[in-house]
Amino acid sequence: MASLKDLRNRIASVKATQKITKAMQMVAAAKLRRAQMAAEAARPYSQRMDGVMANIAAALGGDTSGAPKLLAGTGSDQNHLLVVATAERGLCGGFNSSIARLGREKARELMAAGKNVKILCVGKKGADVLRSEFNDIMLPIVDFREVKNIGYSNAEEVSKQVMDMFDAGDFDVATLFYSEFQSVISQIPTAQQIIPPSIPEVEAGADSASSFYEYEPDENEILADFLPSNVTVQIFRALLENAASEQGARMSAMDNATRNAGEMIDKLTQTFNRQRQAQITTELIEIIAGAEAL
Amino acid sequence: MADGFKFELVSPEKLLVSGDAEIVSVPGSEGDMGVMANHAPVMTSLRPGMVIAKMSDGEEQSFFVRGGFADITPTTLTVLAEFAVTEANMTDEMRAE
Repeated sequence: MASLKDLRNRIASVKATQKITKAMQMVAAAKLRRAQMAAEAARPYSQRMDGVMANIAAALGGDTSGAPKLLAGTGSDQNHLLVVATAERGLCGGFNSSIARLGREKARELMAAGKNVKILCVGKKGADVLRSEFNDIMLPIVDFREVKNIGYSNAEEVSKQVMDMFDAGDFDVATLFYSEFQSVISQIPTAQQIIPPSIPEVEAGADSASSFYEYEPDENEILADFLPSNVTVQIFRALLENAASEQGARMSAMDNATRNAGEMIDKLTQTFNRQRQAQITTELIEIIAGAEAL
Repeated sequence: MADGFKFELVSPEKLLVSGDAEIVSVPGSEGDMGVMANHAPVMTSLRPGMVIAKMSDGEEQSFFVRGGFADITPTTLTVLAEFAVTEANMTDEMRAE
């Protein structure tokens, strides 16, 4: 049985830990609000982008034979690139591992089907998990450790790397793994194919006139510009969703930790009091016994 | 008074304007365009420059944009800029462009 002094020390250390988890929870809550606002502010852009994408797809009318490879695909699905976006830091519950797990399952599935797979990790934590199994097919990780708030330029960095590889013919299909923010307690790990893009569904008869677009300078040049930036926007959106999810996951993980610490303190305090009482009783008995002996 | 149309300027970071405008000047890659209501549907890429909008309430707003597209239909104008700031927040470097 632990001595009174040991118990006192343990209570003190659990209390210190509780203070830290409590502070982390509050920091995460503040960051979550900011991340959520950033994600919401970016939503109109990607929605409009989807709209334009739908217009272009409608204008092509399903005839993708003449379309750039970035829209129609290379016609093969032998080589895959998995972009796994996770956080740079841990202590956020199952956030990193659930994204990594989704990526790992997909990689295994593709490899079992005889496809070539490459993995690009954005964020250190996912790479740590995947490295043990896929070390030889992993590309150097993209590190956002220094980045406080994800900006469009960060997404451009990632997308540039992806585009360079695509242009070099390194892969045919790219899939992006990230966690979609639903609420503080629910983040959904998601896989989204970004190259070739899944074409958003056109609302029935949105405006059929839009298929008579004029293009300036011309259609091909616009598409050559538009498609890469669509990839960037998708990545940007995923990164923002991820940032919000990470903070949400951390907040609920730290909330749990704080509550657990509280329960532990209660239990330890009870043991401490009981032992102290037992000691006092023993001392009293000794004194009484001593007095009676006289 | 000319008819208004729906004008939106969005950058990846936020929605800068959404409202009715009378006329908007857009720096298309082939030259500036004045867009009014009932413009033919056009899709153009942008060069760095100023977007100047005269809103339906008479207010004039200008923005610096760099990169992106303008999507024009008879009833809407959507400027998807890769980078956009209001005129007040421009830096000298942007003015040079």
